[in-house]
Amino acid sequence: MIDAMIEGLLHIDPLTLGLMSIAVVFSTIIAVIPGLGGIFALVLVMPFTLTLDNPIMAVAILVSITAVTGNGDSVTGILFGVPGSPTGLATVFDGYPMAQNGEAGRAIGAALTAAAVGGVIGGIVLAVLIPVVRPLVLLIGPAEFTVLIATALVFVSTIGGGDTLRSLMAGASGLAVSLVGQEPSTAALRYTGESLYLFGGIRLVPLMIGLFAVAEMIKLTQQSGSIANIEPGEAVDPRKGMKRGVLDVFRYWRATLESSLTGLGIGIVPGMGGDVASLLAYSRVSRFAKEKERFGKGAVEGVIASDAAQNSKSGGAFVPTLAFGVPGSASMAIMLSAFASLGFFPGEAMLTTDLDIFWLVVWALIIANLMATGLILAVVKPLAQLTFVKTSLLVPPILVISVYGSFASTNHVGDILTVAAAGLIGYAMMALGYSRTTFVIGFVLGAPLERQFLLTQRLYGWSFIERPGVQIILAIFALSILIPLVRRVIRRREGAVDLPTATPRSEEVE
Amino acid sequence: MGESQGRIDTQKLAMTLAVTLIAGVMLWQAGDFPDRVALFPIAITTIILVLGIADLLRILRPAVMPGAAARAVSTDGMAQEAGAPRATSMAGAIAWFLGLIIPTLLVGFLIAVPVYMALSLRLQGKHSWRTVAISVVAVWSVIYFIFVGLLNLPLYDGLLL
Repeated sequence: MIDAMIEGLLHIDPLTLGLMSIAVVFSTIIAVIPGLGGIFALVLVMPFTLTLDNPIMAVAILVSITAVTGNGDSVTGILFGVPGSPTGLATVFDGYPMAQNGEAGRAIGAALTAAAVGGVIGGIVLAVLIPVVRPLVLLIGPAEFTVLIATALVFVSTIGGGDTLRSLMAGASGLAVSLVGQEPSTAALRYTGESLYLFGGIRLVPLMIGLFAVAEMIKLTQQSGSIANIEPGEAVDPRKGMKRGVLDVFRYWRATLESSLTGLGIGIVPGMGGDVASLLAYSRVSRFAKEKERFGKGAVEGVIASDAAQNSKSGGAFVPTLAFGVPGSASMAIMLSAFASLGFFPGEAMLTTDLDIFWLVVWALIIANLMATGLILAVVKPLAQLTFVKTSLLVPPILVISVYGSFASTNHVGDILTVAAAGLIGYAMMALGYSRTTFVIGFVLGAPLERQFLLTQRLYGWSFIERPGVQIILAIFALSILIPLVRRVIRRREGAVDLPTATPRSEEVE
Repeated sequence: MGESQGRIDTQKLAMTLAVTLIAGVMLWQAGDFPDRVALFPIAITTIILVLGIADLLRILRPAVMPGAAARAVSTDGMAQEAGAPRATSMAGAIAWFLGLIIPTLLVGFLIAVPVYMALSLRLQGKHSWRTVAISVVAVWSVIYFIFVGLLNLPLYDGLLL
């Protein structure tokens, strides 16, 4: 274990560190621009990382992007009341009032430092959890994996918010799309028609870029003006009071620590995104605070809670992804697929023969978080200027890079058609309440689920249901679905008002 | 917006219908696969069919069941967001996107990218020629010098050239 830890750190040589820095800068710029978010940065960068000669560098870059997507979006939330993504929403509750009270710098300092601390705690706990999780992973066989993957997909669809029926349809549709191409064990062709391009199946990279990046650009094309929608002269100087905000994170260490652990716990659960983590942490801190009336009016603890949870969530999200190969979000699904393309397979291999890669992920999480915070604190004022750029100036170059990136990964014109189709479908899904997140998770899990299912059938037939491990997983799944349902029924009978769930949670949630 | 009786959300109906029909076709085609190869597709497409039919019934319920109110929905699904002024309609936004894809397929990135960017920035964004020129050169430089020159990534030449 110690050897693997050191080896993982040594993988981050100066060149890799340099590339991680560029990735952090890029991710931060994307995070500052509302509507784009972390998954956007991930899908844009992924095709280029897959062409690198050194797969270790690619892993470090991708992890760096995932780790810091929450850092930049607090800036626009605090300065303009517009979060960069839904995960930054809770930061706005107290961050924006702080800015209006002339404490923008303090809020930004607190947000970024809390994000760094949360991210570091997330990385450390991920490292600590693995020796605990490892024996469990080694006990899990194909039957248990089959049920684990299937229940995770259903779980994400049902608890993720939004229309459950359509989320389930989206997840199942993702599984169906993954069937296109050659069946893994027999090489029989399925749903390929006469197309040689489809023999290899639908490619992940153009699919992701279309669903997330292109769909968002089509939506942004419809808007006019800039993101901030105020004149640059009206903006507050974000640098004043920053040092006090940095110290606040350690002054309110209890809020920082508790929120980081909340974010971690949420990250481990599939389907719970960053917005849930930050909102829960905020709710918790505000509920147990001595001066509750300050919250919502500029309480720095509120900003700290939201950002610490947002970033520690990434560490938690890597636990099921790396240990079990079960992603709980769209970005983890993309990470999983990228890892497989690079030759690293989560699950038993990641925790035994590729333990150094696991540790690389941990170190990259920690280092990227620290780099991002330092970067944003240094350049927060020019970074905030990005929000004054008109959307009509941003969209064309981003679309061009997106389409080009789709093509560059395999040099096949079919990828341009795929990204176009996926972009239009992704836009329709956004507009009509179909979850792109569950679609992507279904797509990524399709091949491993089928493989495990067929192996299970060969080994046990349908009697695999009787295996103790399978029954435990099904019981946990049933309880996790039934308990919230029963609670909701009880609350309805008591006359409590249900929170609206009609609006689908944005797929920007990670 | 408001609610009206008997109104069906036609966009959601079309989407669910399309998904259900495609699943039906996939299920039908799975009948030609060998048994082992067909097992998983049959399971998944059957699930989609069941879910799709349930969703269709839910969408059609206002028209079928008297007294059931349905929420009237704007034809522009994304137009519900408050705050941001509208520059382009949904059809226009999609048309601009296809204005990049189709020329790229026909004449390749070398020609399509600068033309698309110039037209988009000038006609849709109403930016000055100076801004257009700087943006086109900047993006083109990134693609050509960094991706093609430095990373040796290819450029697509188009079907016609």
